[in-house]
Amino acid sequence: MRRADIGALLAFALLGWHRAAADRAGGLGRLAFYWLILLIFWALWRATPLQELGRPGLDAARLFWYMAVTECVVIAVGFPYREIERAILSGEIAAGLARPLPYAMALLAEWIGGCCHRLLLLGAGGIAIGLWITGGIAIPVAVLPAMVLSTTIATLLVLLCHLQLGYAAAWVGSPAPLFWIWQKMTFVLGGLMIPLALYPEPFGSLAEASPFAAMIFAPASFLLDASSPAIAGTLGLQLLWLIVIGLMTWLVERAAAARFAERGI
Amino acid sequence: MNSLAYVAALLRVNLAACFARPAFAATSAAMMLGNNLIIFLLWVVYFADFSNLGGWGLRDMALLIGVVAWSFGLMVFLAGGLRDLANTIADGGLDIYLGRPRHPLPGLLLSRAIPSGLGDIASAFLFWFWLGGAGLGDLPLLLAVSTAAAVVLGATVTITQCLPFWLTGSAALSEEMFNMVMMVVFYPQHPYGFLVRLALFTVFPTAFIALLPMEAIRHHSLPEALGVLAAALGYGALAVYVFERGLRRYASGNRILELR
Repeated sequence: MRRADIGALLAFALLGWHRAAADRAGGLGRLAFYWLILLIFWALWRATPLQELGRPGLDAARLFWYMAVTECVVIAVGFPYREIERAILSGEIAAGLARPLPYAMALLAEWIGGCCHRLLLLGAGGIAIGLWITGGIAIPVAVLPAMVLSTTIATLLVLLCHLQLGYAAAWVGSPAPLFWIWQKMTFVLGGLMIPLALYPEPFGSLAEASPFAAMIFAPASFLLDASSPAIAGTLGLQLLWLIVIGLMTWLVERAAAARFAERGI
Repeated sequence: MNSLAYVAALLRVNLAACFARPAFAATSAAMMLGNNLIIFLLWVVYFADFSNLGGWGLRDMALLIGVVAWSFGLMVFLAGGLRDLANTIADGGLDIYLGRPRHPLPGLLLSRAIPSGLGDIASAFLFWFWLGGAGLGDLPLLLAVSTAAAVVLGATVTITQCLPFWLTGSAALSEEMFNMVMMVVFYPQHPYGFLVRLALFTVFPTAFIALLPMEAIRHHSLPEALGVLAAALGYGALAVYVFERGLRRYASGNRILELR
């Protein structure tokens, strides 16, 4: 990759950041949505007979912080696949494909910029409401760097899936039904609400090995097991899925471009 | 043509357009059904670990998801235009409807049918009778409160989608508010405290979409069922009022309002 390309990608990332910052109503809406979810689950976890688990450390406060991390990733990303869907259905993608910088990379850079802004906003908002509700932070300081790295990889994985879902419009017209299924799979197999460690076996182990766990469960899992082997294993698995899903995205993008070239947009 | 005939004509055209691509309509519906069943898995996992949630069990959750699926499905299948209302207002798209010799709201709401709603409607029956353990005798009550809940949901979404009349650049906020409503209704509301419940019965009326219908179904309670029906009438009228108030501002110029 040339230096000019890197500069262009950085410019796209900056554009994404500025757009997210300018969308104040949308940002506040997301923050309110995030808080609402956390408040709902705070009420639900407090109404749950957690003593039935027989795990003394796992209380409502820890589960609150677990969800604060998983929901942060999901809400920060939003629904960017719709952007590609719109571009394909309206034909606007033709202008993007003609640029010297690959359309998918430019878009991904813009999404990353926007997500960085939203992750910071939601992260600060999550810590504020968590402090207010639970009276402390259940995230050990020692795992913070690993958690930040894991959250970054998780967000990248989700964004790559959105790229693929957006490109699916080239074949299916509206990828919304595919998105719903993918989203609910991330909710269930990613352990959005309930930590995968609490899933019955072998369902729990299968879910933990899936790419969905790398997208949602991984950064929050450090709240349940902060040992060095667990952190190394989780980050390793995330990197592996990043390579696999990155490759899949590249193949989908190539296939879509070939289809556009053959049949038009 | 009287009003009912007009609405019937709009529905007929929408349904014809919706089934113009039958394979897509069927796929959308099937995937939405699958989507609802997958989300139910979360509760299967939950109740594998815990005996109850504030007195509710897995069957109660199935009934709740059935009620919400019916409400949402009915809303988007019959009045799919609701989902675009904020953008239509912001883009100045109301002009087309204002030129018609009818009240613009029915035309706007019934401007399209979203076929995935059929999957929601179908899944409601699975949740009620297969997973929720309801009997056929419960069907009239289930349909009555769930349909009334659909009206409350539609009215709430209409009100939130009217935000661009007053607030510049708020189409995205309207979408987030829609997501919030859907988020709240899909989870049990009975564990909440007094203040939250008060909000859910007034400014954020999701209690009439999920909590009260569920109480009516669980206790076979006529007063609670009537409460949901009354809420449908009240919030329906409020939605029309809010839209008409907003429309007065729209008359001052549409794109200017959004771009200023």
